[in-house]
Amino acid sequence: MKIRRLALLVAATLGVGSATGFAATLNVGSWHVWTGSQTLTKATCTLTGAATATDTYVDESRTGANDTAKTMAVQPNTAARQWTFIRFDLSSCSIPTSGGADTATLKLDVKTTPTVSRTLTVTPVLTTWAGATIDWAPAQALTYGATTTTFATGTTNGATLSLPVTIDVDALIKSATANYGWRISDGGTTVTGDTTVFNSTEATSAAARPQLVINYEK
Amino acid sequence: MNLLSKTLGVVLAVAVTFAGCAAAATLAFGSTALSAGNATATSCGVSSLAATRTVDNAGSVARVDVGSIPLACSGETLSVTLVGSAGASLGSGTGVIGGCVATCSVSIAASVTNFGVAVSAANVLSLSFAAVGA
Repeated sequence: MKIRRLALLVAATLGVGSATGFAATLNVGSWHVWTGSQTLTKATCTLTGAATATDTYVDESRTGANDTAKTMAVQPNTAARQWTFIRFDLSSCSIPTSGGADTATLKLDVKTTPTVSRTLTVTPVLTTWAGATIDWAPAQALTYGATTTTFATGTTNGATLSLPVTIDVDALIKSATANYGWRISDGGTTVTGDTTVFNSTEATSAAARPQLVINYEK
Repeated sequence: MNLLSKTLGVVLAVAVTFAGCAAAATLAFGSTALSAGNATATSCGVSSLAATRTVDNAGSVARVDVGSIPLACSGETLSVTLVGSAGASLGSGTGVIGGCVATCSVSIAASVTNFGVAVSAANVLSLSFAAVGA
């Protein structure tokens, strides 16, 4: 009798022990867990020159295209406003739509600054324009996006200004939609000596031409 | 009496043995190794994930988006870690897997609690993912 009782006790103990262990196993198995990683490749693409860039400016006071000019102007004067347009062809960078810009910087060389530093506005252009034909009237018919950035011209002739355009370029990479570049304008008050003149893609010095520097990942 | 003592000794030994097994299972669940092992076998169907991220104009990570997540993962939690050089964590964020149609997705916006406020995208060399759910 004693032996039978002890055997039952052992069996019960085994049962409890098994149940405890099994319950723990079930608890582990009832959760989904997955871990993984994604490696990113970093690179830089620099765009400059007529092969990848198109730029011009429009002048409210006269008709005619300015795409072959060596400089581009921006000024706020009533009835004589001047806007600069610039775009780059990103296709030569071969960035996949799954990639993105870490930073994108538009570099403009200021040939002649205003007398007093001005605040200029960079606005994305959402509809097409051609450097060979655009002037003031067609520029009014374009569609523009939200302001990308504003920047100060400074008063140092020959300075290179670096304008952050990361959001726009990142979006262009991801969407792979057509790229119509940016408009640069001055919405400030008219004063004497308020014109900013940038070197264009046609500038004699290659170093003075506009650049778009894209640090990207893919 | 001797028999009883011996038997109780056996019972205790058995009990301790199984307690040890249970404890081992509990410890293993909490360990990284078993979590990873079980993940492969019992995940919600994820074989790999790829994220895209948006940035602000200064180049800081603004949002991380992860798509093409299997429907079976709906409602589970996805943790994304931005990893820099030498495997250093630059910031982590979590989001609930949702937005399910054919597949599911997660968008994690940068904030004080997700990724921190200014992680430079240029410093992010890889992303680590962990999908966890019941």
